[in-house]
Amino acid sequence: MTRCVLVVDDEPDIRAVARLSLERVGGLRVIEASSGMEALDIVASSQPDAVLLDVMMPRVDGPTTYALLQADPRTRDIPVLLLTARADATERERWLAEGVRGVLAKPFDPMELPRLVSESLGWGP
Amino acid sequence: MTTSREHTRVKALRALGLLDQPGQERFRRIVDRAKHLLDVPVVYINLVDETRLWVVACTGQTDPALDHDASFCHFVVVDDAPVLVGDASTDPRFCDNPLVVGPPRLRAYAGYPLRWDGQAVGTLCAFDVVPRTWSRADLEVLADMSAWAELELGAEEVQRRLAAAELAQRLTDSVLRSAGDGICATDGEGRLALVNPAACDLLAAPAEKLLGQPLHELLHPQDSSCSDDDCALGAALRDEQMLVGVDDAFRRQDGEVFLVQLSFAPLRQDDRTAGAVLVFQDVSQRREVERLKDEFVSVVSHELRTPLTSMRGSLGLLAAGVVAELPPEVQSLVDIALTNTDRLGRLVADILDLERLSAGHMHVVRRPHRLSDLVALALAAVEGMAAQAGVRLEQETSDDICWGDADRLAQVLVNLLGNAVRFSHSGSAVRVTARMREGEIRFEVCDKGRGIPPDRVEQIFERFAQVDVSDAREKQGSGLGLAICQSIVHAHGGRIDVDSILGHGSTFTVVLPQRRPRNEPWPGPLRRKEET
Repeated sequence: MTRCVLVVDDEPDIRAVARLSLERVGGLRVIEASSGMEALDIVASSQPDAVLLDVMMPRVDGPTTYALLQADPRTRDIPVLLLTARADATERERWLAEGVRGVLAKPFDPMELPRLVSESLGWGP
Repeated sequence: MTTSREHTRVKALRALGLLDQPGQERFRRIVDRAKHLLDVPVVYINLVDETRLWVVACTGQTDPALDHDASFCHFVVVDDAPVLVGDASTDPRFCDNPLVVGPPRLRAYAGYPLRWDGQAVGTLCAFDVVPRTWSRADLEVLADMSAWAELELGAEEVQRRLAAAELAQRLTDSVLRSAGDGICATDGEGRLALVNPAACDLLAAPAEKLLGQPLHELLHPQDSSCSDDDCALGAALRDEQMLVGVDDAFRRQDGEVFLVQLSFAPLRQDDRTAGAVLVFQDVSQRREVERLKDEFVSVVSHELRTPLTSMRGSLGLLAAGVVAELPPEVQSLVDIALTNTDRLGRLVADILDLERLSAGHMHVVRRPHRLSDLVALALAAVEGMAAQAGVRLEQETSDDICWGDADRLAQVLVNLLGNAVRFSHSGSAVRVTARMREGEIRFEVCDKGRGIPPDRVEQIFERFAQVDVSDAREKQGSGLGLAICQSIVHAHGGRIDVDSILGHGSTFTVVLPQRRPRNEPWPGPLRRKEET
C-alpha cells in the first residue's frame, strides 16, 4: 500500500514542489496542511505514515507542533521529519534528541527529497 | 673604590645638578656658621667627582681651588666616613701631601661625608694651619653642619622629584577622568579605594557613596543570584586571579542591572596583594545590537531560502523531466536557471555560515572521528563533480582519531577538494592525505592546477577573494569558501596554510591540535561505521 506523508508548510509553493517530488519521484501519497493547528487536526483524522514539518511557521511553529503531536497518544507514534531554512547544529541535535526522526535543509533537491525522507524513516526502497 | 660603586656614586652626584654651578648663598651660610662654631680659619663644602673637587662654598680662603689627588676629602669620600687629622705633618697618610709640605702648610683637618641617595658625594671640611685636637663637640658640630648641608644639597632634586610626581599624578588623574570605561581599585580588604567618574556614572552613585564599600557586594548584591561557585568576579577576588574580557551583569545603586564586560587584576606590592583593579564597560547596547543582528540573520535566512526552495524545487523537477520531457532549448535554459539557483543557495549558506562563525555563534561539537571516515565523507560529496571535470581523486589516510565537529571538518575538506577540482586540468589528479604527525592532525589537499600568483596568496583567505575576477562567474565560487574554512579551522584551535607554485598547483594544509576536550573520556577502539 502506498505510504502517505503529510507535508506541513505555510508556503503553498513549497507544498506544491514537495508534493510533486514525493509523489512523482518517490511514489508516495501526499496530503497537505498550511499550519501547525491544521496539521494537528489532519494527523488525528487521517493518521499519515509520516509528517514532514516546516520549522518556521507563524503562530504555531514546527517544534511546537511536534511537541503537541507527542503529547497526544493518538499521534505520538507517527514519525516526524523537520524541514528548516536555518539548521543550526545545536538546534538540530536538540530536535533529534527530542525524538524527531530527521532534520532536512531548505532549499532541497526535489530529486533527492524522497530518498532522504525514506532513509530517515527507515523505509525500504 | 670599585668601578661600579664609583659609577653609582658619581651618577648620584650628577643627579644633584650642582657641579659647575656658581656658589649659592645658602651654602655660604653653612660654612660661615661652621667656621664660627669650630673656630677654624677655613671651611669648605666640596663635591668630589672622578677627577676633581668642585667647591660649592668656602670661607677663610682667597684661592679656593683644590687639587683632587692631593686633597684630604678624597679619603672621606672613598671611605664614606669622617676623617680627623690632628697634625698632618706626623700622619703617614698626609705628611708628604703638597698642601702640608708647601703652602698653605695645613696641619689639622676634619672632614665629614655629605651623602645623597645613599652615596658619599662630597664633604664638609675644616682646616687649620696649626695642630689641633678635635673634640667630641667639634665632631658633633661637623655632623650637624653636614646634615644641614645635605638638606640643602638635595633641596633642588627633591623639588624636581616632587614636581615629577605631581605631573605623573595629574596625568593619572586625567586618564582616570577621561576614560570611558569604569575603573575601580580596591584596597587589600577588597573595599573600594578609587573610582573614576565613568564608574560613578555606570553605577549611578557619587564616589563618596561607593568608596569604602566591599567591591563584590556592591556590584553583585547578596539578593542577586550570584553565588561563589558561579561568580567569576567573586572567585577572582578570593583567589587573586586575573580576568580578561569576561561578561557579567552589575547592579547600579538605583537597582537596575546592566550587562558589562570586565577585566580584573590583583595589584601586587612587595610580594603581597595590595588590592585589585577592575575595568568594566556597559555592553548592554552592544548585546542588543548582536541580538538584533542574530534576529536579522535568522529572518533573512528564512526569507531568502523560502523562495529559493520553491525555485530550486520547481527547476529541479522540470530539469529532471519529472513533469514532462522538455525541448532541448528549454532544457538548456532550465539547466542554466537550476545551476544559478544552486549557486545562489550556496552563497546564502556561505554568508550565513560566515556570519555565525565570525560572531562565534557556531557551536563546534567535538567528538572522536576516524580520519579515514572524515575523508570518505568529503570525497563522496565531490566525486560527482570530479568525474564531470575528468579529475582523479586520490587519498592516503589513516585510522587515527581526530576530535572535532565532523560536519564542519568535512565542510572544510569538501571546500578544499572542490576548489582543487575546479582549478585542475582534465586528466590530472587531486590528492587528499590525512594523518597524525608529531601530536597534530594534518590534512593536505594537493592539486596540479594553475596555482596561485605569489602576490595573491596572502588574500585568498579573505572574504570574497578570488584569484581572478572572472572566477566567481566561471568557477561558480562565492569567494567565501576559504574564509569559512579558516574560521572553522580556527574554531578548532588549528591553522590553515597554502603552498602554491604558479602554473604547477597548490597544496592546502590544515593542522589541528590533537587534543581531547576536558572531561571527555577516551572512547577506546572505534568501530567502523559499517560495523555499527
